[in-house]
Amino acid sequence: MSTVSDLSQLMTIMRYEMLKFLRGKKLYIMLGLIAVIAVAIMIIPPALGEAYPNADEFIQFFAQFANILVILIVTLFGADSIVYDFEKGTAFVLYPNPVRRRTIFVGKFLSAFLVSAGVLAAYYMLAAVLDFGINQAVPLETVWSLLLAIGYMFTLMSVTFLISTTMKSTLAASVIVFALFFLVFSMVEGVLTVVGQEPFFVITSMSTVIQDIMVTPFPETVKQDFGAFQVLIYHPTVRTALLVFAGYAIPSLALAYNRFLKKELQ
Amino acid sequence: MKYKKIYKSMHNVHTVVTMEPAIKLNNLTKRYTFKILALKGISLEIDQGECVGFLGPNGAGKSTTIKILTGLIRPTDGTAFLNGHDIRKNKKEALRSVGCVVETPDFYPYLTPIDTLNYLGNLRGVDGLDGRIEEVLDLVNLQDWADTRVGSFSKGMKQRLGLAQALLHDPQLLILDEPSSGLDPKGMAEIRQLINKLKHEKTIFLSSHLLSEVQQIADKVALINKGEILAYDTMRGLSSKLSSVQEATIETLSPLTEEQLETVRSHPIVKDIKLTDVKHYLLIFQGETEECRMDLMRELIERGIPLTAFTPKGLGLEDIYMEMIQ
Repeated sequence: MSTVSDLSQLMTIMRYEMLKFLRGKKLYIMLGLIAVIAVAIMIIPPALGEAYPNADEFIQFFAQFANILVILIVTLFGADSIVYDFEKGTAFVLYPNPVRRRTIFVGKFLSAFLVSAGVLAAYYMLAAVLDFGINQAVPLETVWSLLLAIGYMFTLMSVTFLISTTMKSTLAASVIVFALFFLVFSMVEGVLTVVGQEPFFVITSMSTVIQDIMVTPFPETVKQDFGAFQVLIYHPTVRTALLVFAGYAIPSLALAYNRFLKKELQ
Repeated sequence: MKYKKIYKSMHNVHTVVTMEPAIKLNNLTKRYTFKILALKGISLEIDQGECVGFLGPNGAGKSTTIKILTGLIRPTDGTAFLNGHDIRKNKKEALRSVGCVVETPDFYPYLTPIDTLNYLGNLRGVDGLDGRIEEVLDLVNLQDWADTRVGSFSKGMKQRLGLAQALLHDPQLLILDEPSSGLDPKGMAEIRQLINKLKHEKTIFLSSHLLSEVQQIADKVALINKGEILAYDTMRGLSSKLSSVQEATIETLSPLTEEQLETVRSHPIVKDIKLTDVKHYLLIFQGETEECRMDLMRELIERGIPLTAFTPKGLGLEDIYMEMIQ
């Protein structure tokens, strides 16, 4: 029996974690969803008797769905990453091996992140191909939008891993992740904008930069009158968004890692 | 750390091989909550090559001990060493030559046994992995399901796969938690046969609730209850520790009269005598040795008791277990 380095073990863990996604249904559900979005975007304008938008607007149309895709991706690929082993008992097989816990944690996170990034990249690739097919042009900003979407996804994945190391059931972890990003943060953001406050500390409100990066000039935060209310239309800058991403991702990952190291299999 | 030395003589050259105990627990304590103290400072030393059964009722602390030994949980206090390596300070080295089956293991349902063993074999750096996978699948009779996804496996098949992964890297030490759990009688017998074969070449620490299993496999037994090790000895040693009070069934030529019963009771080492059937009695007495029993038998005959048979009841593991945990 030869000595195996931590790096080699990390690669092994990542390989088999990725195999999990390739052999599971979740990846194909996401790819199917991407196909449905693409088909809808392709069918709706002609069905309504309208022409396709120009190259910039076409890709922006795709980008506006990216934040919802990210929430679905982290729910499907990240929420059960850690909790599954502890709930189902697979930890009884994997963990009593001569592998450091940090190697397992990093391997699981990186594989979930890479597969998720791959799905996002496939979505943007499909959008770019369709845009090129229709408008014979793809704006360069598409790449920046994709990178911001990946950054946003990394942040949400970090928070998701924290939830996954904390919860005791995969179902509870998935429900909490989805509800937190899809409902709770959106509600807080909604309330804050209605009362005219900038929701700069709400992570989901940063997702607008994914679309805004492709708009020239970059949209600014404005107040609009809606009846008796003056509602804030919040457009964080890229700098603010990156800072908030880091503000969520770093402590979440650190806490998740710490919790994982201390997590006991009872 | 205490070292045990084995002196080997080869061609007049003496070499000293230092051998650590396979398992060494020092004052191991585990507190889950303020109220639940699962282990109360247990200490245990298992030498290389021994096959030790770990017995105790539910909640005694067996699983907690095994989980600490395999790095799944941390002790509140105390230390656990595997082959001389502290499991907390050097988990990677401590588990290098250890194979474990902890509780009823579950496997990733999307992997086949070959995938699973490849995964774990790559993590451990097993040389000649493909051939070794074939060997262990053959050992546990899973060769026909080698390419079937584990998701469709029964509990018994998963248990076999658990054993296969524990043996994959040919470890020095096997830690087995209820190894025959979930198996049918034929499967249980096969696994016991396999463990019996393995015990000649490996150190085995086996927890089981099946007393007969431990009795058939283990050379030594550690009894645990309420987080404390009650006894750790060979079967013979345990039996002699507990056998100061013995039982025997006696048969008489005719039913004993009240007077004869009193005569028996008045013997200095007899504690009691109870009628079990016509002319059959259960005699409870104090005395550990064969000589003691012979003296008792002779003296009862001399006192006019018409004995026709005297059968001492052997103290099985179950008796020892029951007496110890009560």
